[in-house]
Formats: sequence, structure tokens, C-alpha cells
Amino acid sequence: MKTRIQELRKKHKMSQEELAMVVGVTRQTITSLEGEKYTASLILAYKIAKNFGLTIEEVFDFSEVEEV
Amino acid sequence: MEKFKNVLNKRIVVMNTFNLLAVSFIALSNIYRSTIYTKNVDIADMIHGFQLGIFVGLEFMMVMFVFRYRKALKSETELKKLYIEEMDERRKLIKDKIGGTGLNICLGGIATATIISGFFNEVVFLSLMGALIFMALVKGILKVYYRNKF
Repeated sequence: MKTRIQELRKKHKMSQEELAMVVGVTRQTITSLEGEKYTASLILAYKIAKNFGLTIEEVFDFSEVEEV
Repeated sequence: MEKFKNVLNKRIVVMNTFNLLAVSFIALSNIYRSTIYTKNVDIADMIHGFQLGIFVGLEFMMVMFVFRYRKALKSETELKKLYIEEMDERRKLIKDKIGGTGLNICLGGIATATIISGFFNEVVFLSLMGALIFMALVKGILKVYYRNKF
């Protein structure tokens, strides 16, 4: 899933390690999220969005999510 | 974080108890071995070596974990790092995938080996069939348990 995490992290001058510590995951998870290899859970998405003062939809791109 | 500290303390107690039991087993297996496997010395040595290897390996792992947990209990930063490492959702997903896929691969492998061994050796066939039934039962029981839980 596409995200704006890397862009927002750089804007807020945060390292992956710092963001990881704030939202309670490992640095590797942030790397995977930024590399679009892993999709965050609802709770993690909420924590990340809240950290940047945004909503989940503003951080995560749901346009490619298939509707059943 | 207090809850996690309690979990770590409990783990330390369990691991230390296991280490004591493992040391006792190693000591006892030295005595017991000489009375039971006197017919084939090579196999007796192999079995004893395997048992010793398993227990020494497990003990070594547990000692490492105990050191790690003690270190984490002394420092808040280390505790948080350990907590994050254990609770990380991506790691949990990886663990689940390994468990699920791994069990299916093992079931497939043992089922194949069971069929093949049936043409050659009765004892091997029955042993593998026992293992296969046990693993399939574990999978089935876990499936029912988690379907009811979630």
C-alpha cells in the first residue's frame, strides 16, 4: 500500500528509528511500510497518522484497495 | 510496562527452573545410559550425544535470554526496546506465517516419507505415521480453538 510516511517523516525531520520508537514498532517495520512491502494494522496506521497530526486517509493511500 | 516486567520476571523463574532440571537430566542420563543401551555402543553414544546436545543447546539459549531479560529489567530504555521487539506487529505476522506455512510443509514432507517408508520398513512407517497423526491432530485442534476464539 502506498503511504506518505517517508515524505512526512522527512518533513518532520524524524528518523525511521525515532518514528518507530514513538509508534511502538521496530525500525524494520517502518522500512517495510515505506517500501510498500507491508500494510499497517488499523492501530498502527492510527498511531502513525496521529503522530503527524493527520487522519489515516491523509497518510495511507486507499485508492488501490480492491472492492469486493 | 509493569505487566511486561512481571512477565519477564516469570520467564526468568521458568528458565532458571528449566536449567536446573536440564542439568539434573544430563547428570542422570549419564548413569541411566550405561544400564539400558549395552547391546549397541554406537547407537547408545549417538542417542546420548543427541540428548546432551539438545539440552546443552536449550540451556545455552535460556541463559542468553535470562541475561537479556535481566539487562532489560535494569534499564527503562532496554525494557522499551525489548517490549517493542516482542510486540512488533510485522514480526508477529512473520512468526504466524512461518508457523502456518512451516507446519503445512512438515505435514507434506512427513506424509510423503510415510508413504515411501511403507515399502521398506514397518517400524519407520509406523513411527512416521504416528508423527503425522499427531501433527495433523495438533493442526486440527488449533484450527477449532482459534475459530472459536476469534
